[in-house]
Amino acid sequence: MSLLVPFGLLALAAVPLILVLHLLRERRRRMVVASLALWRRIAPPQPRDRRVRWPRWWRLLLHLLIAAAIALALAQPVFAGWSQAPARHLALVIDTSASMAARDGGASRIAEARRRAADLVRSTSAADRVTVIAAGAVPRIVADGAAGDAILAALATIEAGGAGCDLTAALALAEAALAAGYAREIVVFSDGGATPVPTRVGVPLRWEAIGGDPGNRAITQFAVRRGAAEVSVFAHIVNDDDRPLATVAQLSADGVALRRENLGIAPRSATDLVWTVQSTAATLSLSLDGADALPADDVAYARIGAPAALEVVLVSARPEVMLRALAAVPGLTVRAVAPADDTPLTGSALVVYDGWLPAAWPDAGTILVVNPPAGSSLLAVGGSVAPGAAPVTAAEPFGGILANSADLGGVVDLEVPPWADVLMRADDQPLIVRGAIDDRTVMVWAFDPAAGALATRLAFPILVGRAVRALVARATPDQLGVAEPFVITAAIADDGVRIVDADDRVIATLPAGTRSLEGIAAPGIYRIEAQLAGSWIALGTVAVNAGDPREARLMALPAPEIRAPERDDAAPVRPQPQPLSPWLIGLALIALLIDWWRAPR
Amino acid sequence: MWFRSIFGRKARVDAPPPLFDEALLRRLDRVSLLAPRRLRGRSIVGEHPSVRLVPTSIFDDHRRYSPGDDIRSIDWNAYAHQNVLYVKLGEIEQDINVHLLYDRSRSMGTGRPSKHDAAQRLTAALGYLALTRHDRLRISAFDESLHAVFGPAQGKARLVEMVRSIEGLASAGGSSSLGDALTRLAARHRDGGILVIISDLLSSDDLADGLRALALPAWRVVVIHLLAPDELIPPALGSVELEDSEQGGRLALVIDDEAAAAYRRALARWQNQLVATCAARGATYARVMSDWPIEQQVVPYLRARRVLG
Repeated sequence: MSLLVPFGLLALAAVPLILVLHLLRERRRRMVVASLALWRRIAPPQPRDRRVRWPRWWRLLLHLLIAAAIALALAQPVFAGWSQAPARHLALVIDTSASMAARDGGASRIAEARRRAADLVRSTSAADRVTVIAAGAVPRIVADGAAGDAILAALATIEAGGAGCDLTAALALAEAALAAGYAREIVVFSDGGATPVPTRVGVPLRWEAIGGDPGNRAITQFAVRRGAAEVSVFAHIVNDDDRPLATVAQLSADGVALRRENLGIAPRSATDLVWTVQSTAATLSLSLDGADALPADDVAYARIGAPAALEVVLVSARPEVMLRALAAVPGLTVRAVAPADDTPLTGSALVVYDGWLPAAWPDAGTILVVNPPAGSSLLAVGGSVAPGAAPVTAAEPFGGILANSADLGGVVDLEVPPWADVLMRADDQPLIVRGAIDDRTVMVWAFDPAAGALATRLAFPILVGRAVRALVARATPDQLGVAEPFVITAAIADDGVRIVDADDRVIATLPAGTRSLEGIAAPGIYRIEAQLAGSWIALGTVAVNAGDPREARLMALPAPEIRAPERDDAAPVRPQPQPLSPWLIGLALIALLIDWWRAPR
Repeated sequence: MWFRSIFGRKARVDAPPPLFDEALLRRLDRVSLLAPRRLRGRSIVGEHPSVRLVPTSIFDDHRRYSPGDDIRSIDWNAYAHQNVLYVKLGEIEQDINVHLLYDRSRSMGTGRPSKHDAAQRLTAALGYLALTRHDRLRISAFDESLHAVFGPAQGKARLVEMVRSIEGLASAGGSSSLGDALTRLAARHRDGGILVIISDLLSSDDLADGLRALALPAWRVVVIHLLAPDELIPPALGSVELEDSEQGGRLALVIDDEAAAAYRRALARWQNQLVATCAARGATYARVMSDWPIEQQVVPYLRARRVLG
């Protein structure tokens, strides 16, 4: 027991005062009479007043008790002897793989998982803490904090989608998120089958199995390739059911039925479809007739054809070396022109200035400057330097290409512009810098590839290829899984990006500067558009599919063998301080009431 | 402890007041104990009237001469008239036995002023009366038993001895038994006489039995009931704890107006019982307060009660 205000014990000085007052009162009240005979004759009526039958020292004890209780209450004693179980910190790991979207009956598995998790949150106390983790291919923390409405609201936002559930990463994330000082526990809500699975975790683990064993058919792969005159279509269809599957597969081009075929697939087996069709449509879709527990993987979408080649303009007086390297990069159409300020650059995705710079930056979006000349108004370039065989340090995407600067020739002393970052350097000498000027992305190589031995090394085409990809990367991927996060790599300064579905409905809008997207929840064909100067321009089209070989089988699997402690031994058994003042005040009040009741009047 | 001398209440060193003073003695010289004629005494130096008539020159009655009578007391004038010999008979005075029975129980030490002090002064005054009237004075004290304190003695010459004996009395005993003391006294002194009981009568349950032993006509019993003023009126109001001076018992009670009235009624009933008991046995009951001055209040009161004359 400890005292929060020890000075309160000064009130114990009232104890001797009470003793003295009692002694004085005692002396004044006791009287010696000749005989009690007469008094006893009138005493019998007194039993109605039983208060005086108490020995007087009882009242003294009562008063001392009151004084001591009040004095102790003023000192605010706190009793720390009773220990109480520590507050809990629960990590709710919810499997968000696509199979969790299956319906075993009424509600989907993810809805069942949300319901059970919400029940668990409601059963916690206010002192408990909850961390909610959506365990998809890339686990992420959805909510973390005291158990309450915020956690319940975050739970409601969790949806299933995407292939795979990285349970190892999810449990590691959960274990790291659990705070010390709590009784930690991880609760996994999953239909099983998650991979990879850890062999052990360091905190208690509870597995809440979700789902049953419904049959499922799925288009797990759907790929198209545009040939010279036809389009090749490949599809892998799985029947994960104990019964044979008889259905109709329909191929549609831009929403118009193109071909239908009856399918018969044996139980627990798969079949491949290989078709060659004539179509000029931009997208194809394949759908299976009928319904099952997971309709999302009964349809697949694909974008037809490779995008048009990017045009690169090489402005150089001696273009041989760079032309050869650029031609080796797939998807590029390179056009070499002689240096002139009036060279038309319209429509080119990338402009490469080799040994020459114009008087002003062109209107091109991306510019690569190789071996910038001295005296340019655009870049401050000094004389040639000889770094020798200095070790090279490089950031992405140029890491691991050059070990030292021995093969580099014609290195110029480039003053790093304020708008640029150094991506590669040899000692203190910058070799490659990159930055943005107005709406342009500019990369500068402060060396001449043709001057040294670099042009004869394998590193040179790699260096060129990575530079081109870094400058003119595709804006969007061709195909995505449902809820699969992706990054828009368009190197443009837009005012925002939006995602539009096939019915021209905007399903997501990203503010300016945001490039990462959590994923698209439903399968389909989506357009990604960027806003430039008040108008929306298409960055690309992406097909989103739910079918995946890992998610086609919906049978709920038992909990994997994961070793975990029965209880959290690290959880501290914290003594719960118990303030004793209210009890002491109550005791004093009771004693006062007794004293008032028994006091003679 | 050393500091008791500083904080302690200083002990009273005042000498006790004398049992007599000059004014009291002058007052007492003018009164005497009234003794009825029926008491038997000895006609030597006494001053109390007697029922016995003897031949004497100062006569107030006659009877026929009998052989053996002193011929000097023959009334010759009557013989001349009637030719019959008559003897002149005269009343003789006698001295009587005076017993003062002093209650030395512890309860006599209570009260303000103390009943013990009042009893000492009263005993001394009555003893003085007895000695100055040539009565045979015996002073006894009783508590649980009977103790002879002084006497028998006659004459003023024993006055100093009597005073010292009275001054040596103290209320040192525990409880007392008045009835037993009276029975023992009656058994020791069969001649009878005047018995003055000076007591607070708190142990008087057997008073009737004791008075029965002191039967008329040999005894004249005077019961002086000493009461302290605070016994007549309840000492205080409120919650008190009363302690019995003799038994040591305690009684805690709340004295309110109702209880005080009940106490006064109980005291009155008790006194009435004592008066009735005394009256039934021919004893004289006189209630004397301990704060009464002897010469101003006690003597007139006893004269009014025909104890003194």
